[in-house]
This record gives sequence, C-alpha cells and structure tokens, in this order.
Amino acid sequence: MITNKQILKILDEKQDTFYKGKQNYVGKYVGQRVPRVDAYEKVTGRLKFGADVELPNQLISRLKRSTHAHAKITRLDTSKAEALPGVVTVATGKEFNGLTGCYLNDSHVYAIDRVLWVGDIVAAVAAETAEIAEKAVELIEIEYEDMTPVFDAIEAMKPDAPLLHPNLGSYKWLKGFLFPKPGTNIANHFKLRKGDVEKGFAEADYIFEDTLSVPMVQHTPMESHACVVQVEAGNQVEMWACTQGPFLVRQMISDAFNIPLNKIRVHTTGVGGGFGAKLIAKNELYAIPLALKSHRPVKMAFNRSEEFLNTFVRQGLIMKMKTGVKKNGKMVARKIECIWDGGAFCDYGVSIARSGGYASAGPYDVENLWIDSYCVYTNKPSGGAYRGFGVPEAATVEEQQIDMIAERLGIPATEMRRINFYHEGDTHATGMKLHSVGCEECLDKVTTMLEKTPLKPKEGKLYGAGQAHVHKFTAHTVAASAVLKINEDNSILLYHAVSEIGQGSQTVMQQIVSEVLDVPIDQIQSVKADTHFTPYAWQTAASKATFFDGNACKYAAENAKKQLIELAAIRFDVPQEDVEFGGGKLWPKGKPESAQNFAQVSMGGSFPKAVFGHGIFTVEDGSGLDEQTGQGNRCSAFWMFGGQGAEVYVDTETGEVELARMVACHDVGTVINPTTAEGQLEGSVAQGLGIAMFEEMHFDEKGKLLNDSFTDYHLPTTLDMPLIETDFAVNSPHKEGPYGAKGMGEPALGPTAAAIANAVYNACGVRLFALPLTSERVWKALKDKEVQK
Amino acid sequence: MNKLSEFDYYEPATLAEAYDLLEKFGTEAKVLAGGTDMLVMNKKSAFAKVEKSDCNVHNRLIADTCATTTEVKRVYDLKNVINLKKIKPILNEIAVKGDKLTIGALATMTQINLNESVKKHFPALAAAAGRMGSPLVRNIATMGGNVANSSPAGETLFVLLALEAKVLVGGKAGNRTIDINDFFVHVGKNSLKPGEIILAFELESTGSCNAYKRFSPRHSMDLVVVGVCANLWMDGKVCKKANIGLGAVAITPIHAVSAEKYLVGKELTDDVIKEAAKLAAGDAKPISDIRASAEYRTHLVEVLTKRTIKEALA
Repeated sequence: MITNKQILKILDEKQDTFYKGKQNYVGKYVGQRVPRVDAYEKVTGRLKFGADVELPNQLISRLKRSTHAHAKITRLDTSKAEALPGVVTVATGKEFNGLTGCYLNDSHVYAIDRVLWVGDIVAAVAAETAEIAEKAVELIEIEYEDMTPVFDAIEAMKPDAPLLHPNLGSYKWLKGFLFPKPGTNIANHFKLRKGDVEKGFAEADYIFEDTLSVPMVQHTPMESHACVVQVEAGNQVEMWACTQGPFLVRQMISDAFNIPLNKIRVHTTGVGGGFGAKLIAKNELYAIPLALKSHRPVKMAFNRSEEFLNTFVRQGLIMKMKTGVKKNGKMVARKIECIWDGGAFCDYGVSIARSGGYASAGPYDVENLWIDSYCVYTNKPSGGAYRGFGVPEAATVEEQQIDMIAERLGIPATEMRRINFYHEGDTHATGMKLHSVGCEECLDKVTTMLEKTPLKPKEGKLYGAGQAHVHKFTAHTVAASAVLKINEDNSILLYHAVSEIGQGSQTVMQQIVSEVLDVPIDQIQSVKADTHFTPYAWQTAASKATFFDGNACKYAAENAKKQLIELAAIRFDVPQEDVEFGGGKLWPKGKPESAQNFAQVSMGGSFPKAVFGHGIFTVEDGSGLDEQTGQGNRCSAFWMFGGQGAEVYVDTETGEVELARMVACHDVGTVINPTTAEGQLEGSVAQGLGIAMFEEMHFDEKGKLLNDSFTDYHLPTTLDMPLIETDFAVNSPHKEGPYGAKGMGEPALGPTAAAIANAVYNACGVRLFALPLTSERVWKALKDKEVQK
Repeated sequence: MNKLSEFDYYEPATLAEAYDLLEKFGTEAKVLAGGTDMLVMNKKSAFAKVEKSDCNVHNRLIADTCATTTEVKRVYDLKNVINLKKIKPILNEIAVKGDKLTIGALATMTQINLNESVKKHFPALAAAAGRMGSPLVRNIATMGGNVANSSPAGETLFVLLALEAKVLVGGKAGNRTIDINDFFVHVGKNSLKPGEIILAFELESTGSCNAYKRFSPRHSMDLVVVGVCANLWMDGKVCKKANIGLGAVAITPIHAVSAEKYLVGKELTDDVIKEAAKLAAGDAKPISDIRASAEYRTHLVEVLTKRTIKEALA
C-alpha cells in the first residue's frame, strides 16, 4: 500500500521534473498545481446543480413520449390528462411548431404531426407534483399510423429510403459550412480532396482496406439535465439550467419560439458533467411552452431514460478506410468514407461529419487524400457532440490499420507512425499550416512509459500492449470575451461564459488572471455564466475554453492592468513607464513604500475610477473549407496531439479483457494546471474504457432502446479501472495560446479505445473493428481464428 | 425511473402480527426484507390505465365524471408494505448447532459474507454474498429477499441449490420446510403459499468442498450473466457425490444433472473435469438477450464449471 505521504512525495517529484529545461511556460500561477477553486463547494455538497434550483410556486413537468419509431399522429387527446386534479397545463406540437437547432434547424420541440423515433416527445405536462404529472402523462391518448422506419444509416442513404425530413431543403442552416442534400436523408456531405488519390494507390506497394462500425453510446453525465424556467410579463424568459452552452440555449429558444435574445436570460447552475450532451437546448426547450401556458415556474429534470432518448447520443459510425503505403512505411494515399448514424435530428451531428471527416486520416502527412463524410438521418435518438467529436471513433479503425500495416511491413508500429507524423510547418490535410505539433514527443514518452516498467505475465492469460495516437481540432472563427472588475475592497470579479463542467476551467481562468495581475488565486471570484450579464462566448466545447476564453480572460486582465497603470501614473504623478507593478500592487519607481493596491489606485482619493477590464479573442485568419475540396486557410485555431498505450490481459477461454494499465501523453501546449490536466487524462481513461469495452445502445427491431438504464448500460466502476500514468509534451507551446496553452478535454479520449484494441490484438491475435470489445466478441473472434487454423 | 408509489406501511412486532397483516391484505400485501429489489421494481414499473366504474369520494364532487374515471396505477404497485425487520426475535441470526447452520431470512449479504461459519463450511455462499451488487446493496439486501424474489439470476440461488439448503417457511397455518429443489417454479415464481414468508435457511455441513464463480462484464454492481456453484463430496481423489448449481441459464436456477451424475465415482482428473464441464454446458438451457447470447452463456457454463470444480478441490 502506498501511503498518502508517499503519494504526496511522488507528486512533488513529478512537479519538480515536470518542466525541467523545457519550453512550456511555467510561472508563479500558470503551470502550478493550484487546488481547484470549485473543490470545496463540490466536496461539501454545497454547489447548486440544475435540479437544486427551486422557485416558489413551481410546477413539475413530465414528457409523453412516442412508442413508435416513425408514424403519423392521427389522434392526440389530452383532455383526460388536463382533467386530472393537480394538472395545470399540457402542451403539444400543434401549438408550438417552431423548428430550431445548432447548425441546422431541423429539430421540433414536440412532434408536430409525425414522430421520428421511439422516445420522440408528443406532449408535455406540468402539474403540482411529480406523481400527478406522471399519472397525467399516462392519460394522454395517442393514435398512430405507422410509416416505414429506417434504423440503419447505410439503408437510410439509399434513394428509396423513407425520408425523415422531406422539408430539409427549406430548413435554415449555416450556409457554406454545411452541405445538406434535400430530398435525401443526408443532412451533410463533407468532401475532402487532396492530391490524386488514385495515382497514390497506383504508386503504393501495398493497399489495406478495412471497415469499422461503432455503435451509438450516451454521455451519461452523473447529473442528468435539469432546468427551471419562468416567463415573466411581456414574454421575458428567465431560466436556470445546467448547461455547457448558455448562449446557444438562448439562441435555440429564440429560434423555436420567436423570442428576441434580449428577452431570454439563461443562468448557468453548477454542471455535473456534460461531455457535449449539455451543449444545446433540449429539456430547456421542452419546458418553455409549459411555462408560457401556465404563467408559473416549471421545472424539467430528466431521468436516466430521458437522458438516453431525449438529449444527445454519440452518433454511430460506419467507416471504410483504404490506405496505400510504400514498403518503407510511408503512406501515399488514403481514401475514407464515414457514414455517421445521426438519428432523428442532425442539427449538431452535421458538424461532426465535417470535422470528424477532415480529421479521420489521423495525425499523418499523407500526400493524396479523398474523404467523404456523411451525416445521415435515422429513426433513432439524435446524435450530437460527444467528447472527441468523431476523433475517437475514427481513430478506432485508423490507428488499428496503422498497426496492421506495420506488422505486414515488418516494422515497429511506433516507426510506422514516426515516418508519417506531421511536423511543425507541415500542411495539414485541410490545407492549413501546422504550428505546435507535439506528436513525436508524445510517442516517445508513451513508448518509454510502456517499456520502462512493463507489466508481468499472468498465469492462464495472454498479455499484450498497444498504442494509438490522434490529433484533434478545435473551433476556428468563434468569439470569446471576458470582463474583469476590481471591487472597492480590492477583490476581483471575473466574468466569462465558460461553464465549469468538471474540467477545471474556472481554476484555469483564474490562474491566467493571477499570472497577469500577480495576485493570489483566491482574490478572484468567477461568476457563473448569465446571458444578461456575462459577455458572449460560443460554447464550452471543442476543447477551446483555455485557448479562446483563456485568452479573453488574459486580455481582460491586461486591459485592467493597463488602466491601473494609467491611473497610478496620475495618482503618483509620474510617467506611466515609471509605474512599477507587482504582487498586486503599484508604486512609483524607487518608492516601494508608497505602494497601493488595485482598489486604492482605482477607487481611492478624490477621483474614484471603477476599473473594468475587458478582453475579446478570436482567430482572425480562421476560415471555412471549400465545398468541393475541403481545403481552407485555417479550419481549426490549433491542433492537439496525443497518444496512449494500453496493457491488457486476455482470458482466452472467456474472451475477457482486463485493462491493466494505461499510459497517456498529450501535447496540449503549456499545461496551465498539471493536477487538473492529469485529472482530465484519468477521467478520459475511465470514459474511454467504458466505450471500448462495455457501452452500446441496443435497439430492438422496432427501434426501441433496450438499455435505457444503468442496469444494462454498463459504465466502468472503480474496480474496473487500470493503473494510469500520465505525462505531457513540453516542447510545443502554441504562440497564440495564453502562455502557450492549447486545449485538452477531448483529445484525452481520442486514442483510448484504439490503444486497447491494438493491445488486445498484440495479446491474442484478434482484430476487432467493432466496439465495444465485449468478452463475447473477443471469444467469438478467438473461436473463428481457431476454426480458420 | 419514477417516484415510489404511495403505500401504507406496517411494522409488525411479532410473527403473529405479520401473519395477520398478510392474511388481511392478501395479494395487496408486499413483504419488505431488504428492499433492494422491491422498491426499485416499483420505481421502474410502467404505469397502466385502469377504468374505474365506481364513484369515490373525490369524484363525487364532479358528478358527471363519476362514471368514466380512469385511474392510473403502476403495473408493479405497492399498496401495503409489511416490514419484517422489526419482528422479535429478530430474523437475521446466523446460528450453528452441531453440523447445522441456520441463516435467518433477514441476514444481509454482508452478514453472510463475513460470518466465520459460513466462510469455513460454505465458502461458495460467502463468496456469492460478497459479490452481489455493491457494498451499499449488500448492507441491506437479505438472502430471504433474494430467494423470495426468485430471479433465475439471483446471486445466492444457484449456490443454495448446490448446497442443498432447506427453506424454513412460516404462516398462519404453521411452519413447514421446503427443499430448495422444490422451491423455484418459474421466473419470479416460487412455491410459497399466500400468507407465507421465509423464516430461515438450513444448511448442513457434511464435509463437502464448494466454490462459486460467476460471469458478468464488470467487476462489481452487475447482474449474473452465468453463475456456477460446485459442491463436492470427496473420498480422497474420488468424488462420492456432486452438486453443480447453475444460475441465469434457465427459467429457474438448475442443477447440471448430467454433469453431477458423471462425476460420481470418478477420480477428478483434468479430463474428467473437462468432460463434466461439457456435460454441464449441455444441461444449461439459456436464452439470448442483450447481456449475452445463448451460445456464449452455454460456453461460459463449461468454462466456469471447470474452474469452479478446480477451485472447490483446491
């Protein structure tokens, strides 16, 4: 047993060696193991989450959900529900028929005349108690006329497939960014064409072709979606929600109900995990009609089944990958087709088809590329953003194929990767010039961690280790802004719209501001996002908060510092260049005894000036991608790189895979907070392990989800967790990032499943191009292999 | 999952009181032993509409709706919950008398897992009790509840089958003993008569060696996909008698009858164990569901039977 003291010692040593002689920035606050500023309220249970918000006189709501996958609603009678004592109001799609969405407005609030999946919402009830609302839902009478459903994305692409959205052509979407195909189920077709792929294949010594299928999985945040909304006089909507995207929620409410943005106020509560599921308005939309009709506050807190069926799921993926390679391991051509099983609404999934598509060839410089990526409607729950945005899914075939090629060529897989990796200054598949490329360092560190202390063999089990490496994009032209106020007592308020969803952003933003102003972290208080008061930010998504919002916070602090220096120059009656700044104080050069703190400088004396720093950030040379070629100037503000190594034991009799150790090294630029960064990696291993080995949404032949609870939707428990070792690249800080930082939430999940799959192959010779790697699948593959012998 | 139904709750202080309540409420009574199945089933239960023809007090106020009221009830409803935990003397004792071990119906999984006598004579049962659910569940789930629930995947059921447990049941008409082999009738159905409850389990230690193994995707908080318990009476290297209990591979927990027969009188070499495991797989009649295919379950019976026999002998 390791004692706490020993652990602390290990942590200390780790901290010491962390940046030894490296290029990543380490300052007084940035790069330091600062305790999380939200830890205390979380561990003491004091943080208020979505469902904790209670308003006087509030109603409880429940949803009536469809039992049919694709059907016309021929009769909808809510009278018995409305007659039940305690029911205040019932709302349906006939009354509220606006469409909304993130990139593509294809989403209804409640089904208008057709239901699109088992679980689609037909009506909502608000009542005095949950019990009454639950009963009322059962009293709603619906008759359906079945239409042909389509559950398989490949089937859905066929010309004669039933159409989920016959009016696709009339929907509003982000033009130039998405390319929907009206008259089909294709919500987006992304194309990337680079070089001459057929010429590349002709020049190749070997060609490999593989197909992967990944099922729909759900984010399963610990806290399910919850909100409370009230509508005040003049249709002023005020909402409290556990969201990752308060401004997007506001936008979607505005689109759906035709309410101007300045009449919608969204407050962010504590958020108990998001992983993408809480980016857009879901329950927030469904609650509003009830509040509009009842004139009373309405709470809508989802149960786990609603979490599975009525929020987001990770889209399924069927991916074909053909690679041409030279004898020395250099890849010369890759042709890829991604078909994303987008579910009933593809309003966010369209963007995954795009970015997941352009990243699908992995962190490798391949001269000739041809990528088609389709987001396809099916009669299933809606797909959307999930940590990794397509990268972990695509990596599962892409990174296994690298290992296969290396084996066939007789070179180590590490060498195969090294030969093909991107380097600083290379041109990315999308035409963008790459800067801050740390994949090689990650490969070296992962390899060293694996080889230094390999695990011992276990009796009766086969041992194997394997690696996988990814690159991950972020957003490009999105805005981030921040405001910083110095209070009369010298305390500081920091306003930015990044939701603290467990990733540690609140701490990171405060560290950045502390570094600029040279004040202790606890002198700063972050304000939870509130769309009426916090300056605009896009979403807490795409691993972009540290880079975009971190820069906005940095600029806000620098702006405040500039104002303070100007004021100090007046107060001290010296030129600005003679004002010294440090330790949270200002003083005239050579007179440290006259130092004043920020409040004294700004608010003191006879001419008080409230200092109010502001910062805005975006990437100015960001660009879209050409419709025909997928080429552009800068489709992503930066790229993150990273690799992981898995060590597994396989029980060949049962097919059981035990993930024994996972090592991870990621290039995230400067690490603002090593402790929270390690936490991100450890969390991603847990999540990746679940996706790799357990998680799959099972549907029956009529489209009903069979495992919409944790009884049969398995997540790893602490007992399933492997040993974890983490490290970071230190030689590739980003010149535009705050102190060189990039992002890290998503790439951490990227290689996990693929690394496990490669380790399983190396242990027992079984190659599985389907997730999850259940014991039964491994056993069957072992049996088939035996038969083939 | 919805909220718990509203129900009337009773805490009888004696068995006689409990029997009276059971008689009074008949099919509208539910017995609370631990609650880890019953309360969850109620919360998960779907609602069903029941047309009501009579006018109750509430509806008399609205005369015209009186005749057409539709009531919404849970399919698995709770009307009268009778908690057995306050009965004196308390029903959770684990007592040893000679070769006989009596485990009270309300003994929790944790109690059974930690009991020295159970660990010594029936390590298979101690292990099963220590593996079920999570620590939180094991602290309140009882073996009486587990057996009365009669799920074919019940963690202790196939173990009790192999260990030849006797089920002591009580009711207004008096006590009786049911052989565990006669107890389970179908999925969720058993031979308890209306008004009867399980009082205790009796196990006899007769020098057998036993072991238990189960398969499930996760290392904890998971249902049994396949469970095997081997209980062997050995004379040196020769097997005198064998019980192999199988869980989650039929509508009730079952004996692997042909494997048991095959083992008797044989020296338990690797080959013999292998053959017995094959026969056990043939005895299993599993279904395919999202937890596993019938084919895989059958295969797991073979692997686990082999391993369980070896562990019992070790």
